[in-house]
Amino acid sequence: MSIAWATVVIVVLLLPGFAFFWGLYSPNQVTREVSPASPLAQLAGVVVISFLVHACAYFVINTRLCAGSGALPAMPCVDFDEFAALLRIEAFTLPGTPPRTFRSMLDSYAGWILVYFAATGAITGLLGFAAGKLIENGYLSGFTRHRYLFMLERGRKKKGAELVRAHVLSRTQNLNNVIFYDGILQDFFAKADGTISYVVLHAARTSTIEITGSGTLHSDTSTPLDIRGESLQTKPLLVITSENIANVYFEPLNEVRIESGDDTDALDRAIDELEQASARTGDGQ
Amino acid sequence: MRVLKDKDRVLYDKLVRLAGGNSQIVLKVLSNPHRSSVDLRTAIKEIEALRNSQTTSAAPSMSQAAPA
Repeated sequence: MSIAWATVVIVVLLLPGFAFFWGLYSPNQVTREVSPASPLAQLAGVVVISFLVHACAYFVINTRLCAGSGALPAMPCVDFDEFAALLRIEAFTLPGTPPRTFRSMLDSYAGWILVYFAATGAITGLLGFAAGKLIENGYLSGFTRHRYLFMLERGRKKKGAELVRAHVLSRTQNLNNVIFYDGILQDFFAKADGTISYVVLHAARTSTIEITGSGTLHSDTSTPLDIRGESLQTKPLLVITSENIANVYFEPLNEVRIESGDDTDALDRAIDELEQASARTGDGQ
Repeated sequence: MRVLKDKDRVLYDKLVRLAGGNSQIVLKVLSNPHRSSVDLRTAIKEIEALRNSQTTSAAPSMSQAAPA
């Protein structure tokens, strides 16, 4: 029981560190999905950050804010002796052990304790969020392990349409011919070390590459995988896992700027005109 | 990690429809190395021009093949 209680207290004390990393990962998907490459190192970071935050808070509260000459006379000072006793639950649970330090402390200061953890958690969470935004915008490039992932994610955050085309060389081959896929990158998942886990392609096409003695020869034509895709409401996807990927060439396409709603209306009208003309031609035949 | 927004996927599918179902035309227009962005109206014009040029180049070959 005492070990479990001490664990609970330590986890609560580490709350500012956990809040920092929650804030750090929240601005973007890249760090959230691939950064905790070393959970042990992250736990060490949580401990160090929590220790620093509590030390700073102790210093500020006891020298500037708390009762006496502080700016907030109503605020109680941090009593380290009472806090240290909190880790020893035996005195709290065993009957007839006076004095009942924890109960009286919690009765008196429960509100202040909640405010303390809410404040330190919020401050470190915001600091982590700010650090995450700086990493995302390239200011803390030293903390960025897999920069190409941020490049892939950039298009999703832009107002205009910035598509990424992926050319995937597969491991499927017959003699000297290797299957090759290309399409619009829809989803991408990386492992913790930054290597590819799998890619999801939209409007995928397939072709072959022949490996000859003088180099490689790409087939002249490529075949769409979704031959019946025009009539389908839900477009098919191609999922390629790392076991079948030799390498991927990512090609960011030109960003399509949509100046106003009139532009999309013009596109819809052009499609309607084309399809009506095609229907008339079909009827005429 | 999601890369493609739903609205961008819809826009791409519409551009492919405008290209007569030929996604290679759309990719050719959006792969211009001399620019990083293009406004939608310009993209529409370029796609239509490429589609029409492919249609007209295909038409004579079909008419030549018809008598045979």
